[in-house]
Amino acid sequence: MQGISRADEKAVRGFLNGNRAPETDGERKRADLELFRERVRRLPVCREKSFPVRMWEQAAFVHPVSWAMQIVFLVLAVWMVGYWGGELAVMGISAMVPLFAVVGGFELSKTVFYHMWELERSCRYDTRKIAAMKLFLFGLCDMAALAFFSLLVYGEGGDFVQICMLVLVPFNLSAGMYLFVMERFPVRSGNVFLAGLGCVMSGGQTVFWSQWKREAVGIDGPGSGVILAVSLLFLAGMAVRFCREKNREDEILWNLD
Amino acid sequence: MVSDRKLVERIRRGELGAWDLLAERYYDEVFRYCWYRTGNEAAAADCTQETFLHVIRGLAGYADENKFRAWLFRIASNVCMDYFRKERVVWVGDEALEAHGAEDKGIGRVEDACLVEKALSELTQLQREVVVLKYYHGFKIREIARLLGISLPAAKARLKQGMDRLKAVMGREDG
Repeated sequence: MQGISRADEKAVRGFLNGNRAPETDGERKRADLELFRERVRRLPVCREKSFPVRMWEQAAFVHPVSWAMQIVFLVLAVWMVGYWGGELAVMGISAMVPLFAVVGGFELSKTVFYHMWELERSCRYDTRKIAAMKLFLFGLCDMAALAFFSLLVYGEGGDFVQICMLVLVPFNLSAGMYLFVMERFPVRSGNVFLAGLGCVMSGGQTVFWSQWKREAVGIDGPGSGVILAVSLLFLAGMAVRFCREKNREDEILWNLD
Repeated sequence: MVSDRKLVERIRRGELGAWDLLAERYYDEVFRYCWYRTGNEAAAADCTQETFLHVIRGLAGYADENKFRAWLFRIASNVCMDYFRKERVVWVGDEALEAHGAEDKGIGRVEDACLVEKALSELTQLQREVVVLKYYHGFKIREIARLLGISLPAAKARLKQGMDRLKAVMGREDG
């Protein structure tokens, strides 16, 4: 430092070291720490809840129509198997999968389309965590539903390749596409837009199914497994991207500033 | 060791244990700081308590999470200043007293104090504060300037003046 030589500094430091503060009074310290604890306990803070508890609470905010729609799709799949049966039922389920995937999209799009993130952050929760909870919630329900669809397809004579190519892969691709659209175009991704996109993908899936000739495209068991893995990676990547989405002004909990 | 930032985050979420860790981590250091500032054990204990109560009240609005220690010391510094104002403690080093000579005024604290305490007592409050933060608590001069809300040159000047006074006392004693 300018104007203070090292020797001076060392001498002063040594001189000051000759005077050390006394130890704190143990009794007083204990009493003070207890007093501080009491005051901290009274702080108006947000008590920490575990992830499952918060997710369960989050489920209560999902619109009942969304749950009802999922049930309708399940019933519809059962009806198609019972009424049509065979290849037609498999085609129906395959075409329905992209529409089924869009139900979760409706809920997820609320955050970005209606600017719900402002409200969510004002409640001292990170929007990304809320998005992750919703994804996890719908992910669990969708997994159960997909297992059910797969069973139906299997019951109608479908094998692993068909289950992959007609149920699981279309679901992953369409759900990933919805997440991409919501992240990329948050202002446009309302229910109507997502539903329209779902219809287009459903139509595309129908066309794919009608052209489906396993021998012609040469997809075998391992091949479909690889395609399934790639589609899963795509979906996971889009989910992470969606949760990390930066287009929400800031990364901080603004009410704490 | 869990960082201060993490602990503050956890306290805000209502984890009482995180507060215990933070208070335990800094209680003794704040007490020592207050003691070096006030030179009085009872006053230091009161100032320490007051500092932590201020911290608790300020936690909700505290934003600069990476500099908790500096924030804590800024509060401690203000609390000590309040103590001087309330108790009307007059420092020997203050310019007005200096002109008249401390010993002549018969201020008992100077007479009873040990050599270093006496030397520190001859500094103005601001000089003493800078010296204490630098040499007893290891703050860099830039951090001290920020902590006290003064410019870097002002902090350096106070440190230099304080050092010169301390050297003068040391020279007097040696001579």
